[in-house]
Amino acid sequence: MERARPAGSASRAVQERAEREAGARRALFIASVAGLVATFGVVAASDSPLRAIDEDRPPPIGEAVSSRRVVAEVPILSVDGQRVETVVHFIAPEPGTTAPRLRTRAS
Amino acid sequence: MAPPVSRRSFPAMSTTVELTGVGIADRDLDQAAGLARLLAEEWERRFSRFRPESQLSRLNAANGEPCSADDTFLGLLETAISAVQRTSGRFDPSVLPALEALGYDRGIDRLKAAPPSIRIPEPLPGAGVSGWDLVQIDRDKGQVTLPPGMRIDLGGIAKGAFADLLAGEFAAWPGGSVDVGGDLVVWGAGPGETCWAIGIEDPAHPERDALVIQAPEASQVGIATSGTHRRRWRAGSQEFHHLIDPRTGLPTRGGMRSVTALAPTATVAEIAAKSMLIAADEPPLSDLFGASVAALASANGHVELLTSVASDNDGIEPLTSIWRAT
Repeated sequence: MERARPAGSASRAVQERAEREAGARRALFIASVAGLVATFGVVAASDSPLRAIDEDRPPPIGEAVSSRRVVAEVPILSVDGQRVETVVHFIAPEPGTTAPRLRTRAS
Repeated sequence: MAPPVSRRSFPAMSTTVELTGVGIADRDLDQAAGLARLLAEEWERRFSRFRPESQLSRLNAANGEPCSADDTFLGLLETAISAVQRTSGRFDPSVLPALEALGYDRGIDRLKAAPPSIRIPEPLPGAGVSGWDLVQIDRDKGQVTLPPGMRIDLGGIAKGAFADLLAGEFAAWPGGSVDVGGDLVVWGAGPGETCWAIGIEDPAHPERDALVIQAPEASQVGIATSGTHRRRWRAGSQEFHHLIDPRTGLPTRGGMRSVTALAPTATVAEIAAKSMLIAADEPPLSDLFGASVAALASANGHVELLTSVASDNDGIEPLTSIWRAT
């Protein structure tokens, strides 16, 4: 892993180096953005069809959430849309359970 | 033993950027946060509409003349143009004049502190797809030309893209997350046993979660939310929010209060979420632009999950509702 420097203590030379290093990586980022543009409009195709979770079917994700209600499991595709990257679960939170620290919200 | 989890945050882009490192030494996370600050400063020098010297501000002031821009700026602009076309103009960064006409011509904190005195404008719709067709990008010269009168705001998509940029920078970590004002990317091992848990803010009760997303050790998931309940301000007797319907030039009045989308990147998730919110009063979009799922929270308290469906042919299947609750 490449090491970054804290901005507060970085000399100009270190900052310039960090920016040069970042520049090379940003080129890859731009290429990846261009790649995702190509995936717009591609309907999600999956070998493992999504499904809503049946109340009678036990949640398949372990003890950590067994006290909560899993309402759906959904595949997330890779950037190229060709494979399932992972499967996420949607859980209905219940009163008294600890809320996740990480939240998505309108900004 | 669970790997160590550390966090660093700093203000940028009128919001907070937070890095979470899983299995990363504090010293390395400090260094990563230092680089993230540098990159955030670069990002704002490109994309902030509140900095007169930014590349975006110079482009908006060019009024039909060519304007220089770096590759990163041009790359994100090309992404935005593709999104305009693929969403039939539902996603349209050219609504900036309409947004400013409603008073949002300064940072949101300043806007709330000193409500503007405005005359409710005639509708100023966005440029529409045809207007975007006139944008010229010359990669070789590093130049872009907008049609005269077109001015753009890349704020939302720039936040998502910045989250993706940082996720790429730190992809070698055992696990991590980037949170740019609620636009998220998570990857690798989570801070829990093996998973990431991410709350979806309930727009009716922002202190609560409407749903919780649980992702197992993931390669990468991007998550973004658009909502009408934040970035609101008053002008005279009226209250506005910042999500402008390009067809009317006024804040969208659809029935959805928030839309959360999940995709391989936060950039795509941001585009999908905003487009679906803008078009909430219309038949569902035919697909999610590469996003796999969206959670909709309506004004009357309903929460609904939509998702793309498998297709065995080239036709586009409609979105499918897979769960709904009040």
